[in-house]
Formats: sequence, structure tokens, C-alpha cells
Amino acid sequence: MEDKSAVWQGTLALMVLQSLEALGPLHGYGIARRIEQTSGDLLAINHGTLYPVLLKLEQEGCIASEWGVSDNNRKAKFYRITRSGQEQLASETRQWEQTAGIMARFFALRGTAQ
Amino acid sequence: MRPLRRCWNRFLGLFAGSRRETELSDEIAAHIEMQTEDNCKLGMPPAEARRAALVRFGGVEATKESYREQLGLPRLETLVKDIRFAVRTLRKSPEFSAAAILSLALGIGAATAIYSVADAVLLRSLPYPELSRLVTVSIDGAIPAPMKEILHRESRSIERSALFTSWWFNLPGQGGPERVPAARVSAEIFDLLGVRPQLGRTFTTEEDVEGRDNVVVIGDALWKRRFGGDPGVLGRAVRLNDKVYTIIGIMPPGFRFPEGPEHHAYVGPFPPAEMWRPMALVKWEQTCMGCFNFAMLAQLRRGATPAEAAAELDAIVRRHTPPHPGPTGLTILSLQDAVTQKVRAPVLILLAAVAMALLIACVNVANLLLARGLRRQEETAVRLSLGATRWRIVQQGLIEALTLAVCAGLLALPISWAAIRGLVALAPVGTPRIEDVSPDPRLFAFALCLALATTLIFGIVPAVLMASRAPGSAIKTGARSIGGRSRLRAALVIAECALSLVLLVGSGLLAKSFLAVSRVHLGFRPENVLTLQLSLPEARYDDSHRVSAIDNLLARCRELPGVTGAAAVSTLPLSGEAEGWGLVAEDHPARDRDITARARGITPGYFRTIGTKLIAGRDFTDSDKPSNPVAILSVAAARALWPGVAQPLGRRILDRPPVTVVGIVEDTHASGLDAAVRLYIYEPFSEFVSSDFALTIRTASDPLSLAKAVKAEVRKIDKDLPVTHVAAMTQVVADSIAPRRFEAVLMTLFAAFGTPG
Repeated sequence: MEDKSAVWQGTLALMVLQSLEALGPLHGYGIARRIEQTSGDLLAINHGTLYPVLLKLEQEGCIASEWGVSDNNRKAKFYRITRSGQEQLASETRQWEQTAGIMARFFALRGTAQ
Repeated sequence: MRPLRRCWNRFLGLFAGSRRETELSDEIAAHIEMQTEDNCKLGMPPAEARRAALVRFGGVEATKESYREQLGLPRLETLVKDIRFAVRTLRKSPEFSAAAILSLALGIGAATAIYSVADAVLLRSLPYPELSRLVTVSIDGAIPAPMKEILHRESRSIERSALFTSWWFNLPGQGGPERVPAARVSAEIFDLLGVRPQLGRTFTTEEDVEGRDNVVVIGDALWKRRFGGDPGVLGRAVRLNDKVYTIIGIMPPGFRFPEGPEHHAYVGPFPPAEMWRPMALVKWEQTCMGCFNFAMLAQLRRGATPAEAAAELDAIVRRHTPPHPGPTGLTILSLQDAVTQKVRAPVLILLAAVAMALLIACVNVANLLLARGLRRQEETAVRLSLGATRWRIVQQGLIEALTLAVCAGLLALPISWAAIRGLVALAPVGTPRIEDVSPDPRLFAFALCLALATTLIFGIVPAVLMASRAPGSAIKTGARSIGGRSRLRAALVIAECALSLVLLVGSGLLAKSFLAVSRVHLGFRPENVLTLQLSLPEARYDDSHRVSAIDNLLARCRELPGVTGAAAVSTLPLSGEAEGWGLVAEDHPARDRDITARARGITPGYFRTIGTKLIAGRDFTDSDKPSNPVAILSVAAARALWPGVAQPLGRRILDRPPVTVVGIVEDTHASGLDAAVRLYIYEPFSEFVSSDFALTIRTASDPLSLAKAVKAEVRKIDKDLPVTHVAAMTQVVADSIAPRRFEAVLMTLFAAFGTPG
């Protein structure tokens, strides 16, 4: 169970970093919406699970946070990606692409055999 | 890097915990508000919109919980909780905690203190570069100057050698003259020791000659104390014992040679030298083979062992002394041993005692912990059955033990510090390098580790035993103790008793020997006797002048109210010893070996004043003249010279002219209560050349009440004379056995501490 959640946390963290890199500073709700929209509602997460991931990323120095005011004049905490977060994102993206590429080739291999 | 940073931030999170949690609550509230608003925009009724938002978010409390888990360091928090719990448990049973912490702290503190002292006075090497080649050479405790020359010339194992002897200088100053411990040393001695002055130079061999020897080297402490550390003192003239000397060098800090104990075996407590003047032997010293006035330091040739050197030198001594069957008395000691010889046995005894006391403390605490562990069986059993893991129970035991040991360690620090101060203050005069004692962190660490090990082992054993048993059975047996562990306790108690017994017996023996020494028949009656030491500088007082000054002073003292007798003596009993004097009876000239007696110059009335019984014959009188020399012998000396003769009055000792024995007095323990009775020969003060002497004054009441009046009389005679060592004779006696009392008291303390209450 722990392993599964670790993988899930890692994937979620990567999505958070990518969202912040693409859209600039966002609050927690904004990040959750962005992930939902991008995944086309395929990935229905409990928004609550996002917060421990945000804390971990902040502790690692990948993101930074500060209190600000949202579009509809509400006090909210905004997260932004840091330099170190961008490096992390770049290296993890590369790893994902590699993994995805290898997996794709595996599946393609099975397809030709049939 | 990143995990490290995370760790650090989590550590910081420990302290920001509550603030972060309120922030999180605000953040979650805002999140749900925003979602609710968006839901409303999609057309949901407000209540439905809020419910949907909450569902979408998931469990608020679960989120907070997993957030919290990541916030600080949960392991560390448990640890802090355990420590708090341990402290609380220790506080709940204050008697147990106090007993355990105090006995460990005392054990660690005492062990650290004694070891620190042992390290400074005994174990640490003297700071000389070629220490292993340095030895002292002596014959019955000292050596005559010509014998040193012979040994140096004929021995192949000695490369270089030097003479030294202790000396006092009267250094004039604003507050009256100060008596500074000094040494007469051969010029080579600084090279032998391998020590260079920090400023200036030491003396040359040309200056080590009578008449050209008016140069002096001073020590760092004296330089700073009396000359304010001014480098300009080099070349300055100082008046010492009324002779003018030029200061030519300043030795580096910590240079202390001779320190005192390496000296003639018979010299009493002597502080380390602070000034050095050339040996510059005078004519009679160069040729007198019977003048055992010096100590000899030698550097052995590379590769020569002290044992070989001793054999070689022994043969040389035999060739140059009249043949006799007994041993020559030649002794070679490494310089390190010579300095530490007197403290070795007592310090080793104390070390053993304190090690015992520390062991007893550990056994004691082990026992306490075990007993408590057994009492807590039930509690442990309940916790186990409520689902506590075994590891948690062991961990808690561990932390409790650690807390105990750390508390003890912290308490031991001031204890060891105070104990060291106490030991230094109480240590007998003449303990070498006692000033260098400082708490030794290595031993402190060792003692602390021992305490840790003890508490860990015995704190955890009960916990582990309990944890390894099935919870049900533990509850069933309840708090009844289990066979195996009560055997362990019995073993501990036995060990403790055995260790205490050793300590008790040891301290009993020391106390007994102390009592025996303090009950020795002194041969004089120290009650109601005031003593003080004086020095009449040779330059201002020639022999006749000195005698008249002393007679004058004694006459004035006798007239003081409350004084019943006053006399002078060249060396006060128990305050050091004079050189040996070989005696030959006129009618037994061909004895195998000289009879060595210690000489004392005394004024008439000395025996009455100090309380030594005249057994036969008469005391000296003012009419004894140098043309017809007379002497008084102690019983033992008379017996040694004329065995079988009951009262050898009127017999003569070979000398030029022969000395007639006119009286016999009882034996005295004048050179140490624990030393064998020595032979004494007393001569009239007028015939005994001694610039240093002591006054003894018998009083009707408390002797110290007359100290002021007597000092005033001395000032009337000569205001520049330094008066030192003003004390009641009883104090002089007590001081002479101070080392034994010191050991006995310490041992008794350890034994008292180590004995199970």
C-alpha cells in the first residue's frame, strides 16, 4: 500500500510541477482544477490528497508559497515553481518519456506478434 | 541534497507545527469556498454546492492527519515524548532517582578527579626532550661533589652530568624580603634537560666558578610576579642574600627543576625552584668526600640502560671508598621516578579505591534498576496486552536509562570540578606538579560511558525479559519475581558487598597506619612551643656577628611575658634534614664503615625548650669554646659509636681537634614520624656554620599568641630579616603526617560512600 501511494504521490507531484510551470502561480484549488481538466476528468482525485504533496514539494524546495488574493477577491495561498523545481521537472519529464517510450515499444512488439 | 533539505525543513516544522496547521485549515477552507462558488455558478443550490465541494475534497481530517505526519519528524517527536515520560517517571519516584543519580554522579566525579590528579602528578611525562636518558645518581640519598667527578670521569655509561642542590634566596621587595626557593646548579644542567631560556641566556661554564658566579636565571612565574614580566630585567642587578647578582635569563613557563622530591632523599618538603645560580663549588666542597650535600643528574649514553649504569657506577664507588662488606648505597633512578617516587604508592592506592567506588556505584544502580524493573512487571504486562510493541517497551527502558546516566553525568561535572579543587588545596606540600591538575575530559567520558553501559544493561534487562514473554502469562504471574532475576540480584548484592569490603579493609589499614604514626614517641614535646624560621645573610653576618645577634635575640625573647624558654636550632625537627656526617670513634678507628649521623647546631637550653630529655651528662653552656670542641649525642648515635658502653661521656670523636662527648639525649623522630630513628649529633651553635635556623620558644599559654611579639623583636634586631614558617610546633608535627592523613581521610570517604546503606 505504501509503495502504491508513493508512486501516486510521485506522479501527482510531477503533475503539480507541470501545472505550475505551464500556468504560473496557482492556489491549491486551481491546481486541482487544472489536473482534472487536463486529464479530462479521467483522473478523479480527492482534492485533499493534493495538500500533503504540496507540503512535500515545498519542503524539498521545488515550490514556494505565499498568501495572496484570488480572482474573486478571496485570500488564498499561491504556489509557484522554483528554479530547483524546474530542474526536477525537466529530469523527471525525461524519465517519464523514456519509460513511456520503452513501454510503448513493448506494447508495439506484442501487437506485431499477433 | 533534496532529501536533506526536506529533513531540515521537517526539523524546522517541529517548531512551526501549530502555525502551519492553522494555515492549512485556512487553505482548505478557501479551497472548499472556491469550489462551492464554482458549483453555484453551474447552477447548484448553495447547500448542494457546498456538499458536493466537500465530497470532491475528500476527508478534511484525513488530509490534515497525513499533512501533519509529513510536517515534523514523528520519530523525533516520539523520542521527545519518551524522554518527557522518562523524566516524569523518575520524578514520580524521587528516592530511587536521587539515589541512582547521586551515586553515579559521585562515582563519576570522584573517579574523574582522582584520575586527573594521578595524571598530573604521576602519569604525565616530565617535559624534557630526552627524558628516558635522564637519571639521578645518589649514594644513600645524596652525593659528594668529588664523587660526581669520579663517576663522570670513569663511567662509560654516563655521557653528561651535573650537580644541583636546593637553596633559598632572600629577595628584597616593598612588602619586606621574600624567601624564594632557588637552586644551585651546574652550568650544564640546562643542556642536560634540553630547556632553553625564553629570554636571555643561562650561565656559561666560565661563570660556574667561585668568584665569577654573580649571575642568576629566574623563573617565568617569579618574573611575572615580581618584575611585571618586563623584558628589561635582563642585565638588572638584584640583591640576593645581600650579594649582588645580575639577572641574565628567564626560563620558560612551566620550567620547574628541581621540583623538590627528586632531591636528596632526606630533604623535607621543598617547593620547586624559581631562581637558579651557578653551582660554583668552593674549595672544600670540591675535595670533601664525606660531604653528602648534592644531588646528581646524569644523561646516559644512547643505548645504556639504567641497570647497566648502576652496576658500572657501583663498581666505581667501591674502588674509591674504604672497603666494607655492605652495599654501597648507590641508587640510580630515572628522573621521572625520582620526581614521582613519593607520590606513587598513595596515588595508586587512591586510584584503585576510586575505581572500586565507581564500580560499587554502578552495581548499586544496577540493583536499583533491576528492582524497579521487577516492580513494573505488571505495568509492562498490561501495556503489552494493550498492543504496545515489544520494541516500544525496550525503547522506553533504554531512554529511561539514558536519562538517568545523562543526569548523573551532568551532576558529575561540578562534583569532579569541586573535588579537584579540594584535592589540590588539601594535597600535602611537596606534591609534584599539583598545580598542573585539571579535569581530564577523557576520563570523564570513560566514567560516563561506564555509567551509560550500566544503566543501559540493567535498565533494559527487565524490559527485554518482560517483553519476550506472552502478555497473558505476565498478567497472571503479576508482580511476583522470577527465579532467574532474583539470582541476578543476589549476585549483584554479593559483588557490591565484596567490593565494599575491599574498600573498608583498605581504609581501615590506612587509618591504622595513620594512627600508629601519629602515636609515635616524638622524643620532644611539641605542645606550647612556637617556632619560626630565620635566615641571617652570610654577606652581612659573619660567624661571630651571627652568634651575637642570635644571643641578643634569644635574650630579648626570654624577657617577653609568657615565655619560659627560647633557643635556636639549625634544623627544626620534621622540617627537612641536614646532611650526613661520618663519625669515627677515637678508640675504634678501624670500623668497617663510617657511622653517619645528622648534625644539629643548637644554643644552650634547646633541649629544655623543645622538651627532649637529657639522659646523661650536661647541656651546652656559654663557656664551651671552639678550642675544646664538645658534642651531645642521641642515644642511638652513642650506642652505634660505642656499642656496649652505657654512657660514653668523655669519649672522643675523631676530628681535628677531637670532639668530646659531654651529654646524651633521648632519640627523636626529627626526620619524619614514619622514618626510622636517625642518629643525631648536636654541636654548639657557635661552631656550626648555618645562616638558616629556627627559633623555638616555649610558652606558658597558646604559643601563637606570642608570634607577633617575637616577630617585633626580630625586627628590632634587623628589619630586613625575613621571618617565615611561623607555626606552633604541634602544627609542624601535624603537617609532617599530612600526606598520610590525606590518604586515610579520602579512603574513608570512598569506603563510606561505597558501603551499602
